[in-house]
Amino acid sequence: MPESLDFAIRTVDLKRSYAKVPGHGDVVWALAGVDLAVYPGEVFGVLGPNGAGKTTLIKILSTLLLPTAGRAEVAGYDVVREAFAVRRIINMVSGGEYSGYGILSVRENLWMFSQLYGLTYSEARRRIDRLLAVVDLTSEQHKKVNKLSTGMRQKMNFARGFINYPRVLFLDEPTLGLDVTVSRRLRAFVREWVAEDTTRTVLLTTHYMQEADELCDRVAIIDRGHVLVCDRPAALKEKYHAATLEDVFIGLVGRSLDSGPEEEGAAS
Amino acid sequence: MTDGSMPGVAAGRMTSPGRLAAWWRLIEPNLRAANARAYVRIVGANRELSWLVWDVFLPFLGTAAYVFIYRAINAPPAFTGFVILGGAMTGYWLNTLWSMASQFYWERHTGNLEMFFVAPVSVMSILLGMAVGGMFQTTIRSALTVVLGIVLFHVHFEVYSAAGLLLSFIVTMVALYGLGMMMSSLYLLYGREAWHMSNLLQEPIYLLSGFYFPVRALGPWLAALAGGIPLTFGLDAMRQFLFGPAAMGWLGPWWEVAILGGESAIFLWGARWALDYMARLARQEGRLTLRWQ
Ligand SMILES: Nc1ncnc2c1ncn2[C@@H]1O[C@H](COP(=O)(O)OP(=O)(O)O)[C@@H](O)[C@H]1O
Ligand SMILES: [Mg+2]
Repeated sequence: MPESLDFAIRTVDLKRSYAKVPGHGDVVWALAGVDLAVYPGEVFGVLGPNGAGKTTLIKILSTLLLPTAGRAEVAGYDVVREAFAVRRIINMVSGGEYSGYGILSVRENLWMFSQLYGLTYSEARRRIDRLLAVVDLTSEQHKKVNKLSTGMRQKMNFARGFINYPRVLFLDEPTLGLDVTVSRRLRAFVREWVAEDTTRTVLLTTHYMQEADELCDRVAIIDRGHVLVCDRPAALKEKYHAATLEDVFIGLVGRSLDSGPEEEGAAS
Repeated sequence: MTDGSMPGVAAGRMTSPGRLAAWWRLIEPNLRAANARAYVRIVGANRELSWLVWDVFLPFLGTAAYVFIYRAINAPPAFTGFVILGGAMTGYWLNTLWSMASQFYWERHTGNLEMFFVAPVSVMSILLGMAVGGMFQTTIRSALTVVLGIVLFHVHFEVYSAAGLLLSFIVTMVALYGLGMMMSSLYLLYGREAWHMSNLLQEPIYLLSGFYFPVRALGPWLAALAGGIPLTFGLDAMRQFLFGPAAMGWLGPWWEVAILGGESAIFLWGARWALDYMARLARQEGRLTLRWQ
């Protein structure tokens, strides 16, 4: 049984290391003890530079990666012991991902993914119509995916993430590389999505501070696997007497968000 | 895999229709997933008609060459039938190697694999969908090969036992695609290697499985070795059910069907085991995807 129903997501001293060289003793700590609590109805942002551990966190929460130590729960289900229960209520999108089949049309791809969640044909059709409109691909729906631009393909994958109407949705840098208008449109939908049903929760990672500021109810700023602070954007700016979240970050770590990773993360 | 309890089933006492409904709730998404994955193959792969050239016409030329060789050396007429049957079955082997065994490499590359793992279905149903789709896709091609053979070379099939033929074909398919599912799982984490392995297996197995001649000609030791590949017994059994004694069968055809049944069970169980093992390893090492941001 779920232990803590009041949390949408909860991590306790969550750690994850990777071998620097496979088979060698040397490790990188991608998460070095992360404690987070996210509530239903929230759009929660994880903000940090490249290599901070954002993707690692999302992969663990979406059951794709095992933690090295600590605990993580989604809607009260343990992501390791109750992975199946977690999978029934989540979905995940990463920006820049190009999943799907090039030989199928946009619509067929979305249908294909809807079937992994057991949707009936009519329910799938209804949701696909809606989501196509959201990402502005209605007129492209019968185009084969290998004929699409990368941006369109990314929009298709964004739509895919909502196909099962997940209770908890993970978005890993969803607007990476998209133009400003499209990004704004997708962000607006994320807000609308959560407002529509407050049992829904979205956790998104980003290294665009403005995105976090605009979109998120609360943000956790992370760097090198540590949560530095976690609060509402306005509260953070006030507390650190900063005009933007970027300035908050600089105040905390002494370098800018876009400065990129330290040496070791550069290979990513 | 530690996939935890399945809430629908574990939810305490239920009447038996309730239990049936709970069971169906678990099965249904898996069937839908398998169906959807098969759809990619069935619809996607037939959309461009270039497959007629690559998958039917060109391979048929190779098969035809064997027919002419056998005719030149005055082999018994049944041999022409062997060759056509072998040619038709070749497609299934190629499909197993290239569309099953090394498939997950590509799925991992595109990110589809992660999507399969994040969904509340067993990845076995994805493999099943790949297999069923591949079988369907190949059957169209193989049927065309047989028709071409009949029309061009006037092959005459006697059909000694239609039931035996059908059964041996089905059990060959299950064993063959079971092997494909197992290889696919084993190679979940090994991309290039899977590709090389498929390459390595392609040619020698033409010879060993006796695509174009009776496997008995290999001698008992080599034949036994080749028996690990479902096509060896499959072809031999099918030939015996088709041509009777002229097939120069190796073991009795029903024995061969039984052995194939055993191989099916081993491969399917092996596929499940390998998938669980590899999935756990992949989640431990963070290798379900090739890239990270
Ligand atoms: N599969 C992996 N193998 C080895 N190191 C990895 C792997 N994935 C991530 N890392 C390392 O872990 C750290 C955190 O990476 P990641 O979670 O991708 O950060 P972010 O998403 O914030 O950019 C980085 O130093 C990265 O190089
Ligand atoms: Mg990342």
